[in-house]
Amino acid sequence: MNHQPSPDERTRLLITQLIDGELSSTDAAELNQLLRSDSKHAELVVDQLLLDSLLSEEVGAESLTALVDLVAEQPPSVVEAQPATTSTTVLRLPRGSRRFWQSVGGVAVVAAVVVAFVMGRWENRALANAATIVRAAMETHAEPVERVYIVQTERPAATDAGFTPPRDVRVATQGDRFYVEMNRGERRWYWGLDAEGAIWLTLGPRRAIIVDQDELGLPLQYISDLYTLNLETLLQNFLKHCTLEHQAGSRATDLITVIPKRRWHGGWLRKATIEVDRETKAVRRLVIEREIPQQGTSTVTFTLVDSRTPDESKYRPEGHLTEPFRLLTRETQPDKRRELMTNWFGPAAERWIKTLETKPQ
Amino acid sequence: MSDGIRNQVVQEIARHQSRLRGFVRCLLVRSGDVDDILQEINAVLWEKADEFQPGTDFWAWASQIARFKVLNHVRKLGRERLVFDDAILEQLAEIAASKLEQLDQRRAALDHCLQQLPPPQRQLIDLRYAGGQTIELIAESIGRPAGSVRQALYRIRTALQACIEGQLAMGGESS
Repeated sequence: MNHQPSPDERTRLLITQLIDGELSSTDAAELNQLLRSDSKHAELVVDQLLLDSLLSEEVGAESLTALVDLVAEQPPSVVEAQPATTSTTVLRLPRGSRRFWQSVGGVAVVAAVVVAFVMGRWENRALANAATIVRAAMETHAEPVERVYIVQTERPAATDAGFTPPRDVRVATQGDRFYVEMNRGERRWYWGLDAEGAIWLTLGPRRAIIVDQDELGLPLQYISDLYTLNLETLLQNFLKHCTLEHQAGSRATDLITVIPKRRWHGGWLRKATIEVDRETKAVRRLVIEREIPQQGTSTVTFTLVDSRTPDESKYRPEGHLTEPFRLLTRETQPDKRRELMTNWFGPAAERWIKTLETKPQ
Repeated sequence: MSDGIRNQVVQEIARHQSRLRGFVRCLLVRSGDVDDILQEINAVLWEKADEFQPGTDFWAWASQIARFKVLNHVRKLGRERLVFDDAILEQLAEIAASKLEQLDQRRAALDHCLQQLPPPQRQLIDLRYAGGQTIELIAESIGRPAGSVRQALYRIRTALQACIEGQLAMGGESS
């Protein structure tokens, strides 16, 4: 037996189709008719569309001003402790054994010397192995393949009040170049850095803002620090300035822990963990813990989700815009940029651009 | 206009973004057009900022401007595709402006109701909204027919709406 929907059900069904972008012109006419027939249908329609709008905001990643919140609130701190290194625990004696060796006095001294010797040899091998793996990853990432990473930032629950970080942030990277895609439901924006360190940021399909490096307010600098992924330089710096330790990873990956040497403070790195695919040598996962002065601690995790042929145009704002579009720069529209950013991201975006003076020659 | 008032208007515009967005959506604007229209509304609000009297109801002022902007947009579209009558849109605007006064309560109710959803339903909502995927793509990714996904989303939205109404009614009783 066929169920004949009531007019209320029919209205809900049609409005669902409208919400999902599947309403045909015949259905639109029917909805129009239903709305005309009884005012209660108008109420049903508003309820459903309000629900849709709220779902887009609540579930669709972040609130409208999330990007502002991201930088306006207290800086994030590390919440998740990294797993203990296995390289040292492998050579640690089990508790019972250790107690036994302690109890036999002099024998323990000999044992300690032997353990130290073995550990030293093992560590040297581990270090060399770690460097080889990182070099291999560097070579892989220099290839003309674009890799896309999902980015997660972490902050402790204590500072979470009112803050929803974007759920869907992706970084596309090839060699030392990158661009970031941020998604909130059906709203999406892109940004990246140009060769001179200026940030470009697309606002919809027809406008992009360019903020020169010397104009970057602290919040924008923070976003840039958080999501920038110059993978080639990063790995190079790891090799040059950090102690690398090879840990036991999964069957398919090698795990490298990176600790900066005492004198190196580049990128404010505190610790990094790199997971390298054993077969392809691509970086599958990268966890970066940083302690940035005045901005606090942050943990950013990049997880590989896609490898593809790079689209060169996407590394520039024009590649994300549709003609006719406008690029708003310090020279062309200095004030409009601030106004637009405030409209898009809320009042805190006023601080994103330091000054609106003309560019120094 | 003084800096103080300018700052106040900027803050009010930002504070009402969610409400304005909901309002635009309620006037049957296609989801893909909502943000563009919202930007145009923001620009007009900014241009007319000196007409706003501090201390008066910002929402009443802003929703009027938004209403004109959306109706203009819809009229322009009229030639391209079938849209809804002006009278209907006016009616929807009336209802939406009133319901949006309770937006915060609705949002809180929705948060509660989302938590009550069984995991498979929650996953569908996440795919649709967090992933921004079409019905066809969702169907493909979870290996179900598109019709079944469509029906499931319809049921979930109906259930969420009923739950929200229940929560709002309970809130009304307790206050």
